[in-house]
Amino acid sequence: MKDWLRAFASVFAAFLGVQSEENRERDFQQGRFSVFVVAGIALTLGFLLTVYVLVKVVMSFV
Amino acid sequence: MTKAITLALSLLAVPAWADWQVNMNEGVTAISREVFDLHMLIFWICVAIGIAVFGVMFYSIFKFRKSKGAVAEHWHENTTVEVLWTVIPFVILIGMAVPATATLMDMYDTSEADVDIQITGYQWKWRYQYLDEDIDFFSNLSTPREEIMNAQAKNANYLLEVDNPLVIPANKKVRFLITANDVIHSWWVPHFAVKKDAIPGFINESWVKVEEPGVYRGQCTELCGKDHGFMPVVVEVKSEEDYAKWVADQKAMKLAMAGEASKQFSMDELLAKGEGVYQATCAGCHQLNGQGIPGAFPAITGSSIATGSIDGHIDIVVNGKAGTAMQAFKEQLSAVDIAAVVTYQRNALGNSVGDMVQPSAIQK
Ligand code: HEC
Ligand SMILES: [Cu+2]
Repeated sequence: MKDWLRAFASVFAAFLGVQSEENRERDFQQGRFSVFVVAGIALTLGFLLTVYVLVKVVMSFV
Repeated sequence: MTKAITLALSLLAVPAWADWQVNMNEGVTAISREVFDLHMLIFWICVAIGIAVFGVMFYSIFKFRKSKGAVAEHWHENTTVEVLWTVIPFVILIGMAVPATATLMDMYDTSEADVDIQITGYQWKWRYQYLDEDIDFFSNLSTPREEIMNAQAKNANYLLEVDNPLVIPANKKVRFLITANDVIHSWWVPHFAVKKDAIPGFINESWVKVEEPGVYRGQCTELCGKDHGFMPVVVEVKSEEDYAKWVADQKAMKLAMAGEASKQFSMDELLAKGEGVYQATCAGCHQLNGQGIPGAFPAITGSSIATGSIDGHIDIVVNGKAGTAMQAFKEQLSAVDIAAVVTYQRNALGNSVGDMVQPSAIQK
Protein backbone atom coordinates (compact mmCIF):
# COMPACT_ATOMS: atom_id res chain seq x y z
CA MET A 1 0.00 0.00 0.00
CA LYS A 2 2.82 2.34 0.95
CA ASP A 3 4.51 1.40 -2.34
CA TRP A 4 1.49 2.64 -4.26
CA LEU A 5 1.18 5.89 -2.38
CA ARG A 6 4.85 6.61 -2.93
CA ALA A 7 4.59 5.76 -6.64
CA PHE A 8 1.66 8.13 -7.10
CA ALA A 9 3.48 10.87 -5.21
CA SER A 10 6.56 10.40 -7.39
CA VAL A 11 4.60 10.40 -10.63
CA PHE A 12 2.86 13.56 -9.49
CA ALA A 13 6.26 15.12 -8.75
CA ALA A 14 7.34 14.12 -12.28
CA PHE A 15 4.27 15.91 -13.70
CA LEU A 16 5.36 19.03 -11.86
CA GLY A 17 8.97 18.48 -12.90
CA VAL A 18 10.45 18.67 -9.40
CA GLN A 19 11.76 15.74 -7.34
CA SER A 20 14.22 15.48 -4.48
CA GLU A 21 17.38 13.41 -4.86
CA GLU A 22 16.49 11.45 -1.73
CA ASN A 23 13.13 10.30 -3.13
CA ARG A 24 14.66 9.52 -6.50
CA GLU A 25 17.21 7.16 -4.95
CA ARG A 26 14.54 5.50 -2.83
CA ASP A 27 12.34 4.93 -5.92
CA PHE A 28 15.18 3.44 -7.92
CA GLN A 29 16.28 1.10 -5.13
CA GLN A 30 12.95 -0.08 -3.75
CA GLY A 31 10.30 0.78 -6.33
CA ARG A 32 8.71 -1.71 -8.69
CA PHE A 33 8.59 -0.78 -12.36
CA SER A 34 5.03 -2.04 -12.95
CA VAL A 35 3.68 0.05 -10.07
CA PHE A 36 5.11 3.22 -11.65
CA VAL A 37 3.68 2.35 -15.07
CA VAL A 38 0.20 1.87 -13.63
CA ALA A 39 0.46 5.06 -11.57
CA GLY A 40 1.68 6.97 -14.63
CA ILE A 41 -1.20 5.82 -16.81
CA ALA A 42 -3.74 6.49 -14.07
CA LEU A 43 -2.51 10.03 -13.45
CA THR A 44 -2.37 10.75 -17.20
CA LEU A 45 -6.00 9.68 -17.53
CA GLY A 46 -6.83 11.78 -14.50
CA PHE A 47 -5.18 14.80 -16.09
CA LEU A 48 -7.06 14.33 -19.36
CA LEU A 49 -10.33 13.95 -17.50
CA THR A 50 -9.64 17.14 -15.51
CA VAL A 51 -9.00 19.14 -18.69
CA TYR A 52 -12.10 17.64 -20.30
CA VAL A 53 -14.36 18.47 -17.36
CA LEU A 54 -12.85 21.96 -17.05
CA VAL A 55 -13.60 22.71 -20.71
CA LYS A 56 -17.13 21.36 -20.32
CA VAL A 57 -17.74 23.53 -17.28
CA VAL A 58 -16.33 26.66 -18.96
CA MET A 59 -18.33 26.03 -22.12
CA SER A 60 -21.53 25.68 -20.11
CA PHE A 61 -21.27 29.43 -19.43
CA VAL A 62 -21.51 30.28 -23.15
CA MET B 1 28.31 72.30 -40.28
CA THR B 2 25.46 73.98 -42.16
CA LYS B 3 24.60 70.54 -43.45
CA ALA B 4 24.32 69.22 -39.91
CA ILE B 5 22.12 72.14 -38.88
CA THR B 6 19.80 71.67 -41.85
CA LEU B 7 19.55 67.99 -41.04
CA ALA B 8 18.76 68.69 -37.39
CA LEU B 9 16.13 71.25 -38.36
CA SER B 10 14.52 68.94 -40.90
CA LEU B 11 14.33 66.19 -38.29
CA LEU B 12 12.51 68.58 -35.94
CA ALA B 13 10.13 69.47 -38.73
CA VAL B 14 9.12 65.90 -39.53
CA PRO B 15 5.39 65.90 -38.72
CA ALA B 16 5.43 62.14 -38.26
CA TRP B 17 6.76 62.56 -34.70
CA ALA B 18 3.28 63.60 -33.67
CA ASP B 19 1.78 60.36 -35.03
CA TRP B 20 4.24 58.15 -33.24
CA GLN B 21 2.28 55.25 -31.87
CA VAL B 22 4.02 52.15 -30.63
CA ASN B 23 1.15 50.40 -28.91
CA MET B 24 -1.45 48.36 -30.76
CA ASN B 25 -4.60 50.32 -31.58
CA GLU B 26 -7.87 50.07 -29.73
CA GLY B 27 -9.96 49.55 -32.81
CA VAL B 28 -13.61 50.36 -33.44
CA THR B 29 -15.59 47.37 -32.20
CA ALA B 30 -16.52 46.03 -28.77
CA ILE B 31 -14.37 42.97 -29.45
CA SER B 32 -11.33 44.99 -30.53
CA ARG B 33 -11.54 47.03 -27.33
CA GLU B 34 -11.83 43.83 -25.32
CA VAL B 35 -8.73 42.50 -27.08
CA PHE B 36 -6.92 45.77 -26.39
CA ASP B 37 -7.80 45.68 -22.68
CA LEU B 38 -6.66 42.08 -22.48
CA HIS B 39 -3.40 43.03 -24.17
CA MET B 40 -2.83 45.86 -21.68
CA LEU B 41 -3.68 43.66 -18.67
CA ILE B 42 -1.18 41.01 -19.74
CA PHE B 43 1.36 43.65 -20.66
CA TRP B 44 1.24 45.11 -17.13
CA ILE B 45 1.44 41.63 -15.57
CA CYS B 46 4.61 41.07 -17.63
CA VAL B 47 5.99 44.45 -16.52
CA ALA B 48 5.37 43.60 -12.85
CA ILE B 49 7.04 40.20 -13.21
CA GLY B 50 9.95 41.79 -15.06
CA ILE B 51 10.48 44.41 -12.35
CA ALA B 52 10.29 41.81 -9.57
CA VAL B 53 12.65 39.33 -11.19
CA PHE B 54 15.24 41.81 -12.48
CA GLY B 55 14.94 43.88 -9.29
CA VAL B 56 15.90 40.92 -7.10
CA MET B 57 18.63 39.97 -9.56
CA PHE B 58 20.27 43.39 -9.79
CA TYR B 59 19.93 43.98 -6.05
CA SER B 60 21.66 40.66 -5.32
CA ILE B 61 24.41 41.32 -7.84
CA PHE B 62 25.08 44.70 -6.26
CA LYS B 63 24.65 43.85 -2.59
CA PHE B 64 26.66 40.62 -2.67
CA ARG B 65 29.48 41.72 -4.94
CA LYS B 66 32.90 40.14 -4.61
CA SER B 67 34.67 43.36 -3.67
CA LYS B 68 32.56 43.39 -0.49
CA GLY B 69 33.86 39.97 0.37
CA ALA B 70 30.81 37.94 -0.64
CA VAL B 71 31.48 34.21 -1.00
CA ALA B 72 29.36 31.99 -3.25
CA GLU B 73 27.14 29.43 -1.54
CA HIS B 74 27.53 25.89 -2.96
CA TRP B 75 24.21 24.19 -2.44
CA HIS B 76 22.56 21.95 -4.96
CA GLU B 77 18.99 21.11 -4.14
CA ASN B 78 16.09 22.99 -2.61
CA THR B 79 12.80 21.29 -3.32
CA THR B 80 10.69 24.00 -1.69
CA VAL B 81 12.11 26.76 -3.88
CA GLU B 82 11.83 24.60 -6.98
CA VAL B 83 8.20 23.81 -6.28
CA LEU B 84 7.51 27.50 -5.66
CA TRP B 85 9.03 28.70 -8.92
CA THR B 86 7.04 26.06 -10.76
CA VAL B 87 3.71 26.64 -9.06
CA ILE B 88 3.75 30.46 -9.15
CA PRO B 89 4.06 30.74 -12.97
CA PHE B 90 1.44 28.00 -13.28
CA VAL B 91 -1.00 30.01 -11.19
CA ILE B 92 -0.20 33.23 -13.09
CA LEU B 93 -0.77 31.49 -16.45
CA ILE B 94 -4.10 30.04 -15.34
CA GLY B 95 -5.07 33.47 -14.04
CA MET B 96 -4.31 35.02 -17.44
CA ALA B 97 -6.18 32.25 -19.24
CA VAL B 98 -9.46 33.19 -17.54
CA PRO B 99 -10.01 36.63 -19.20
CA ALA B 100 -8.36 35.38 -22.43
CA THR B 101 -10.84 32.52 -22.68
CA ALA B 102 -13.76 34.86 -22.07
CA THR B 103 -12.61 37.11 -24.95
CA LEU B 104 -11.98 34.17 -27.27
CA MET B 105 -15.46 32.82 -26.64
CA ASP B 106 -16.93 36.19 -27.65
CA MET B 107 -14.79 36.26 -30.79
CA TYR B 108 -15.90 32.79 -31.84
CA ASP B 109 -19.60 33.45 -31.29
CA THR B 110 -20.68 33.91 -34.92
CA SER B 111 -24.31 33.05 -34.23
CA GLU B 112 -27.28 35.26 -35.18
CA ALA B 113 -25.54 37.36 -37.80
CA ASP B 114 -27.52 39.94 -39.79
CA VAL B 115 -25.34 39.79 -42.91
CA ASP B 116 -23.27 36.86 -44.22
CA ILE B 117 -20.33 37.55 -46.51
CA GLN B 118 -18.01 34.98 -48.04
CA ILE B 119 -14.45 36.23 -48.40
CA THR B 120 -12.17 34.35 -50.80
CA GLY B 121 -8.45 35.00 -51.20
CA TYR B 122 -7.03 34.84 -54.73
CA GLN B 123 -3.52 35.50 -56.03
CA TRP B 124 -3.62 38.52 -55.52
CA LYS B 125 -7.00 40.00 -54.77
CA TRP B 126 -10.01 39.41 -52.56
CA ARG B 127 -13.47 38.29 -53.64
CA TYR B 128 -16.54 39.31 -51.65
CA GLN B 129 -19.82 37.40 -52.02
CA TYR B 130 -22.89 38.61 -50.15
CA LEU B 131 -24.69 35.36 -49.50
CA ASP B 132 -28.21 36.79 -49.09
CA GLU B 133 -27.96 39.53 -51.71
CA ASP B 134 -26.60 38.05 -54.95
CA ILE B 135 -23.76 40.58 -54.84
CA ASP B 136 -20.37 39.23 -55.89
CA PHE B 137 -17.27 41.22 -56.79
CA PHE B 138 -13.48 41.30 -56.72
CA SER B 139 -11.43 43.87 -54.88
CA ASN B 140 -8.16 44.80 -56.62
CA LEU B 141 -5.33 47.09 -55.59
CA SER B 142 -5.89 50.53 -57.11
CA THR B 143 -2.59 52.27 -56.32
CA PRO B 144 -1.24 53.60 -59.63
CA ARG B 145 1.77 51.75 -61.09
CA GLU B 146 3.65 55.06 -61.29
CA GLU B 147 3.63 55.36 -57.50
CA ILE B 148 4.84 51.80 -57.09
CA MET B 149 7.66 52.45 -59.57
CA ASN B 150 8.67 55.65 -57.72
CA ALA B 151 7.82 57.77 -60.75
CA GLN B 152 5.22 59.66 -58.71
CA ALA B 153 4.91 60.71 -55.09
CA LYS B 154 3.13 58.11 -52.95
CA ASN B 155 -0.31 59.02 -51.58
CA ALA B 156 -1.32 58.57 -47.94
CA ASN B 157 -3.08 55.26 -48.61
CA TYR B 158 -0.28 53.85 -50.73
CA LEU B 159 -0.86 50.08 -51.20
CA LEU B 160 -3.88 50.32 -48.89
CA GLU B 161 -6.48 51.28 -51.52
CA VAL B 162 -8.71 49.16 -53.79
CA ASP B 163 -11.12 49.62 -56.66
CA ASN B 164 -14.11 47.96 -54.91
CA PRO B 165 -14.01 48.02 -51.11
CA LEU B 166 -16.01 45.61 -49.01
CA VAL B 167 -19.12 47.52 -47.88
CA ILE B 168 -20.89 46.60 -44.64
CA PRO B 169 -23.63 48.24 -42.55
CA ALA B 170 -22.85 49.87 -39.20
CA ASN B 171 -24.38 48.46 -36.01
CA LYS B 172 -25.20 45.11 -37.59
CA LYS B 173 -23.53 41.81 -36.86
CA VAL B 174 -21.69 40.85 -40.03
CA ARG B 175 -20.39 37.31 -40.31
CA PHE B 176 -17.40 36.53 -42.53
CA LEU B 177 -16.87 33.07 -44.04
CA ILE B 178 -13.23 33.13 -45.03
CA THR B 179 -11.59 30.77 -47.53
CA ALA B 180 -9.13 30.83 -50.45
CA ASN B 181 -9.02 29.74 -54.05
CA ASP B 182 -5.36 28.95 -54.62
CA VAL B 183 -2.89 29.22 -51.72
CA ILE B 184 -3.23 30.25 -48.07
CA HIS B 185 -3.95 33.95 -47.53
CA SER B 186 -5.06 35.74 -44.39
CA TRP B 187 -7.65 38.48 -44.04
CA TRP B 188 -6.69 41.15 -41.56
CA VAL B 189 -8.25 44.44 -40.45
CA PRO B 190 -6.42 45.70 -37.33
CA HIS B 191 -9.23 48.08 -36.30
CA PHE B 192 -11.67 45.14 -36.14
CA ALA B 193 -9.20 42.84 -34.35
CA VAL B 194 -10.03 40.32 -37.05
CA LYS B 195 -7.19 38.29 -38.54
CA LYS B 196 -8.20 34.94 -40.01
CA ASP B 197 -6.38 32.53 -42.26
CA ALA B 198 -8.00 31.96 -45.65
CA ILE B 199 -7.29 28.33 -46.48
CA PRO B 200 -8.33 26.51 -49.68
CA GLY B 201 -10.94 23.85 -48.83
CA PHE B 202 -11.67 25.22 -45.35
CA ILE B 203 -14.06 27.91 -44.16
CA ASN B 204 -13.00 29.97 -41.15
CA GLU B 205 -15.58 32.15 -39.48
CA SER B 206 -15.32 35.55 -37.89
CA TRP B 207 -17.58 38.52 -37.29
CA VAL B 208 -17.71 42.27 -36.65
CA LYS B 209 -20.17 44.82 -35.42
CA VAL B 210 -18.82 48.29 -36.12
CA GLU B 211 -20.51 51.25 -34.45
CA GLU B 212 -19.11 54.15 -36.48
CA PRO B 213 -19.31 54.46 -40.28
CA GLY B 214 -15.89 54.96 -41.82
CA VAL B 215 -13.16 53.39 -43.93
CA TYR B 216 -10.91 50.77 -42.36
CA ARG B 217 -7.84 49.30 -44.01
CA GLY B 218 -5.85 46.11 -43.68
CA GLN B 219 -3.71 43.67 -45.61
CA CYS B 220 -3.20 40.07 -46.59
CA THR B 221 -1.06 38.73 -43.78
CA GLU B 222 0.01 35.30 -44.98
CA LEU B 223 2.86 35.27 -47.50
CA CYS B 224 1.07 34.15 -50.68
CA GLY B 225 3.43 34.78 -53.57
CA LYS B 226 4.80 37.59 -55.70
CA ASP B 227 2.12 40.23 -55.06
CA HIS B 228 1.36 39.37 -51.43
CA GLY B 229 2.02 43.01 -50.50
CA PHE B 230 -0.33 44.20 -53.23
CA MET B 231 -3.68 42.77 -52.12
CA PRO B 232 -4.92 45.11 -49.40
CA VAL B 233 -8.25 44.94 -47.60
CA VAL B 234 -10.47 48.02 -47.51
CA VAL B 235 -13.77 47.99 -45.64
CA GLU B 236 -16.28 50.79 -45.94
CA VAL B 237 -18.77 50.87 -43.08
CA LYS B 238 -21.94 52.69 -44.08
CA SER B 239 -24.96 53.78 -42.07
CA GLU B 240 -27.96 51.49 -42.49
CA GLU B 241 -29.69 53.76 -45.04
CA ASP B 242 -26.53 54.26 -47.08
CA TYR B 243 -25.91 50.54 -47.04
CA ALA B 244 -29.42 49.80 -48.33
CA LYS B 245 -28.86 52.34 -51.08
CA TRP B 246 -25.51 50.76 -51.99
CA VAL B 247 -27.12 47.32 -52.23
CA ALA B 248 -29.79 48.70 -54.56
CA ASP B 249 -27.12 50.40 -56.70
CA GLN B 250 -25.14 47.18 -56.99
CA LYS B 251 -28.21 45.33 -58.23
CA ALA B 252 -29.03 48.04 -60.77
CA MET B 253 -25.43 47.93 -62.00
CA LYS B 254 -25.64 44.20 -62.44
CA LEU B 255 -28.75 44.56 -64.62
CA ALA B 256 -27.07 47.27 -66.68
CA MET B 257 -24.04 45.03 -67.19
CA ALA B 258 -26.20 42.17 -68.41
CA GLY B 259 -27.62 44.59 -70.99
CA GLU B 260 -24.12 45.66 -72.10
CA ALA B 261 -23.15 42.08 -72.88
CA SER B 262 -25.54 41.90 -75.82
CA LYS B 263 -24.37 45.20 -77.33
CA GLN B 264 -22.08 45.39 -80.39
CA PHE B 265 -18.75 47.12 -79.72
CA SER B 266 -16.34 48.74 -82.16
CA MET B 267 -12.66 47.76 -82.24
CA ASP B 268 -11.69 51.10 -80.64
CA GLU B 269 -14.16 50.69 -77.80
CA LEU B 270 -12.89 47.18 -77.08
CA LEU B 271 -9.24 48.30 -77.20
CA ALA B 272 -9.84 51.20 -74.83
CA LYS B 273 -11.74 49.01 -72.34
CA GLY B 274 -9.27 46.17 -72.79
CA GLU B 275 -6.29 48.31 -71.88
CA GLY B 276 -7.86 49.14 -68.52
CA VAL B 277 -8.73 45.52 -67.82
CA TYR B 278 -5.25 44.36 -68.84
CA GLN B 279 -3.50 46.84 -66.58
CA ALA B 280 -5.71 46.09 -63.58
CA THR B 281 -5.98 42.32 -63.93
CA CYS B 282 -3.24 40.84 -66.11
CA ALA B 283 -0.22 43.14 -65.95
CA GLY B 284 0.73 41.91 -62.47
CA CYS B 285 1.96 38.73 -64.13
CA HIS B 286 2.28 39.40 -67.87
CA GLN B 287 3.69 42.91 -67.21
CA LEU B 288 2.56 46.28 -68.54
CA ASN B 289 4.50 45.96 -71.77
CA GLY B 290 3.34 42.36 -72.38
CA GLN B 291 6.83 40.88 -72.04
CA GLY B 292 5.97 38.66 -69.06
CA ILE B 293 8.68 37.39 -66.71
CA PRO B 294 10.78 34.69 -68.34
CA GLY B 295 10.49 31.40 -66.52
CA ALA B 296 7.36 32.43 -64.59
CA PHE B 297 4.84 34.27 -66.75
CA PRO B 298 4.90 33.99 -70.57
CA ALA B 299 5.03 37.05 -72.80
CA ILE B 300 1.80 38.07 -74.51
CA THR B 301 3.79 39.85 -77.21
CA GLY B 302 4.30 37.27 -79.95
CA SER B 303 2.62 34.51 -77.88
CA SER B 304 1.44 31.64 -80.06
CA ILE B 305 -1.88 31.63 -78.20
CA ALA B 306 -2.47 35.40 -78.29
CA THR B 307 -1.63 35.51 -81.99
CA GLY B 308 -3.14 32.12 -82.88
CA SER B 309 -6.77 30.99 -83.13
CA ILE B 310 -9.04 33.36 -81.21
CA ASP B 311 -11.01 30.44 -79.72
CA GLY B 312 -7.91 29.10 -78.01
CA HIS B 313 -7.10 32.56 -76.71
CA ILE B 314 -10.61 33.05 -75.29
CA ASP B 315 -10.51 29.58 -73.78
CA ILE B 316 -7.34 30.14 -71.72
CA VAL B 317 -8.68 33.46 -70.40
CA VAL B 318 -12.15 32.10 -69.57
CA ASN B 319 -11.10 28.72 -68.16
CA GLY B 320 -7.47 29.30 -67.18
CA LYS B 321 -4.94 26.53 -67.32
CA ALA B 322 -5.18 23.99 -64.52
CA GLY B 323 -2.10 23.63 -62.39
CA THR B 324 -0.59 27.00 -63.36
CA ALA B 325 -0.95 30.53 -62.05
CA MET B 326 -3.11 31.29 -65.11
CA GLN B 327 -6.48 31.21 -63.38
CA ALA B 328 -9.98 31.02 -64.87
CA PHE B 329 -11.20 34.58 -65.28
CA LYS B 330 -14.84 33.72 -65.99
CA GLU B 331 -15.80 34.42 -62.38
CA GLN B 332 -13.78 37.60 -62.10
CA LEU B 333 -14.49 39.40 -65.34
CA SER B 334 -17.70 40.19 -67.18
CA ALA B 335 -18.20 39.02 -70.77
CA VAL B 336 -17.51 42.61 -71.86
CA ASP B 337 -14.20 42.69 -69.98
CA ILE B 338 -13.10 39.33 -71.39
CA ALA B 339 -13.95 40.30 -74.96
CA ALA B 340 -12.13 43.59 -74.48
CA VAL B 341 -8.97 42.17 -72.94
CA VAL B 342 -8.68 39.40 -75.53
CA THR B 343 -9.13 41.92 -78.35
CA TYR B 344 -6.57 44.17 -76.66
CA GLN B 345 -3.96 41.42 -76.31
CA ARG B 346 -4.32 40.49 -79.99
CA ASN B 347 -4.01 44.07 -81.25
CA ALA B 348 -1.69 45.83 -78.81
CA LEU B 349 1.43 45.05 -76.77
CA GLY B 350 3.23 44.58 -80.10
CA ASN B 351 0.66 42.16 -81.56
CA SER B 352 -1.47 43.02 -84.60
CA VAL B 353 -3.64 40.05 -85.47
CA GLY B 354 -6.48 42.33 -86.63
CA ASP B 355 -9.49 40.31 -85.38
CA MET B 356 -11.82 40.96 -82.44
CA VAL B 357 -14.52 39.25 -80.38
CA GLN B 358 -17.89 40.56 -79.20
CA PRO B 359 -19.05 40.01 -75.59
CA SER B 360 -22.04 38.05 -76.87
CA ALA B 361 -19.64 35.41 -78.24
CA ILE B 362 -18.02 34.75 -74.84
CA GLN B 363 -19.35 31.44 -73.48
CA LYS B 364 -18.90 31.38 -69.74
C1 HEC C 1 -1.28 35.23 -61.47
C2 HEC C 1 -0.55 35.43 -62.69
C3 HEC C 1 -1.35 35.63 -63.98
C4 HEC C 1 -2.32 36.56 -64.21
C5 HEC C 1 -2.88 37.61 -63.26
C6 HEC C 1 -2.70 36.38 -65.58
N1 HEC C 1 -2.00 35.36 -66.16
FE1 HEC C 1 -2.15 34.75 -68.07
N2 HEC C 1 -0.77 33.31 -67.71
C7 HEC C 1 -0.12 33.09 -66.52
C8 HEC C 1 0.73 31.93 -66.65
C9 HEC C 1 1.63 31.34 -65.56
C10 HEC C 1 0.58 31.46 -67.97
C11 HEC C 1 1.25 30.25 -68.60
C12 HEC C 1 0.39 29.01 -68.38
C13 HEC C 1 1.04 27.80 -68.97
O1 HEC C 1 1.91 27.25 -68.26
O2 HEC C 1 0.73 27.48 -70.09
C14 HEC C 1 -0.34 32.37 -68.61
C15 HEC C 1 -0.72 32.26 -69.93
C16 HEC C 1 -1.54 33.14 -70.58
C17 HEC C 1 -1.81 33.12 -71.98
C18 HEC C 1 -1.19 32.16 -72.96
C19 HEC C 1 0.19 32.68 -73.30
C20 HEC C 1 1.06 31.63 -73.97
O3 HEC C 1 1.62 31.95 -75.00
O4 HEC C 1 1.17 30.52 -73.41
C21 HEC C 1 -2.70 34.14 -72.25
C22 HEC C 1 -3.26 34.53 -73.60
C23 HEC C 1 -2.97 34.77 -70.99
N3 HEC C 1 -2.26 34.16 -70.01
C24 HEC C 1 -3.86 35.84 -70.85
C25 HEC C 1 -4.10 36.47 -69.64
C26 HEC C 1 -5.08 37.50 -69.46
C27 HEC C 1 -5.98 38.08 -70.55
C28 HEC C 1 -5.01 37.87 -68.18
C29 HEC C 1 -5.83 38.95 -67.46
C30 HEC C 1 -7.26 38.88 -67.57
C31 HEC C 1 -4.01 37.04 -67.53
N4 HEC C 1 -3.47 36.19 -68.44
C32 HEC C 1 -3.67 37.16 -66.20
C33 HEC C 1 -0.25 33.85 -65.35
C34 HEC C 1 -1.16 34.87 -65.20
CU1 LIG D 1 -2.59 36.84 -50.04
